[in-house]
Amino acid sequence: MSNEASALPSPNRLIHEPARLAILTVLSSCASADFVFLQKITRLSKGNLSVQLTNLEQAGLVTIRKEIVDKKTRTTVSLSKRGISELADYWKTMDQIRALTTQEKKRRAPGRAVPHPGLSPEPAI
Amino acid sequence: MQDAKVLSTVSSEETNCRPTGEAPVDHERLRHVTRLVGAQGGLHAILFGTFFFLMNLTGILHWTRGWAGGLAYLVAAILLVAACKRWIPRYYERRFGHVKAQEMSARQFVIFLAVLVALAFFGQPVASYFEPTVSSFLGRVHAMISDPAQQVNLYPPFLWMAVFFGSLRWPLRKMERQRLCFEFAGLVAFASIALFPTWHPDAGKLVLWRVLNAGGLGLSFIATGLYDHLVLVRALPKRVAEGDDE
Repeated sequence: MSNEASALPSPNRLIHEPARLAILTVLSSCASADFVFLQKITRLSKGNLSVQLTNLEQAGLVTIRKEIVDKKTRTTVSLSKRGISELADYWKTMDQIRALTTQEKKRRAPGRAVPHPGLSPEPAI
Repeated sequence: MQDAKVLSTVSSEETNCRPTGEAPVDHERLRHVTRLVGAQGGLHAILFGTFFFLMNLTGILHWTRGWAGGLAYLVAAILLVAACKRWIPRYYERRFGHVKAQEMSARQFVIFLAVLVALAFFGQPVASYFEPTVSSFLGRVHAMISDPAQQVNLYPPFLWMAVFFGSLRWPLRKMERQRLCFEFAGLVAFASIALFPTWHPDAGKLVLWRVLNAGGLGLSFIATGLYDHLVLVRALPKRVAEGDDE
């Protein structure tokens, strides 16, 4: 069983975290988005979103700009070129894993063998 | 254990845990909502729909004829431009936050330009080639619904039918199912308006039916814009979480 699991490609751990993946998904659908929008759509708290954005910026996946609009500071975030390619690679890896797990499920189905613990339909928390 | 975590995330197609941990995240929905805010489509569609609707009322409501109608259209056009340039972007930014839509890629721009050039050169000949076929088809449909005078506006129900059948695919996500239900409701509503004269022969004398029939396209835009706006309002809360859960 451990051999099957180790044969699977490993996704980028930094992107795989749900909050960061949600942020990157949003940013991949627009040229840039501000902090308020990201907070509303991801429903993260200010502190958490700030930490996640800092992590992504340190990894070079996003670019953060601060500008003053109507006497207020607006923080704008956009995906960097590296972020675009890393996210594309991440989804490719996930597709590969999905294909492999589907094959595994099909292979196991006729014998009604005990399912792999990793194949449970519940999302990981 | 780590492997199990990875596998279980993969097994349900686009679900990952919501960042706060209580519900799964639908990434397709995140993309859809972001694009909607970036395009500011909902309110613009309502505005253009209202303008189309008012334009189509010419000849139905007596006040739309003459100088009063001209003045009303001029005021409506000025309001439309002001709303598009100033009020709607400001409202979106205050209510949902600032999103800059993705710019057209070079490839998309070339395709767009090619389509424009093709339409400019071949649009008229193609339209005149298909015109007799379309007229004959519409004539047959009018005859089927006992409307020889061709009073019924058939474009809105056909538009909704095309949109509805264009959205049919399998499997459908929750967001797509809701959209499909809305499109089906629109199709039923506009088909009912088109078929109303078959049940009520004096429909042509009813001002309400004439308004709904003539302004069908405008009303369709308004309905679509309202739906998109409701999606945004439901997806993006007015107040954001202030607490710090670091």
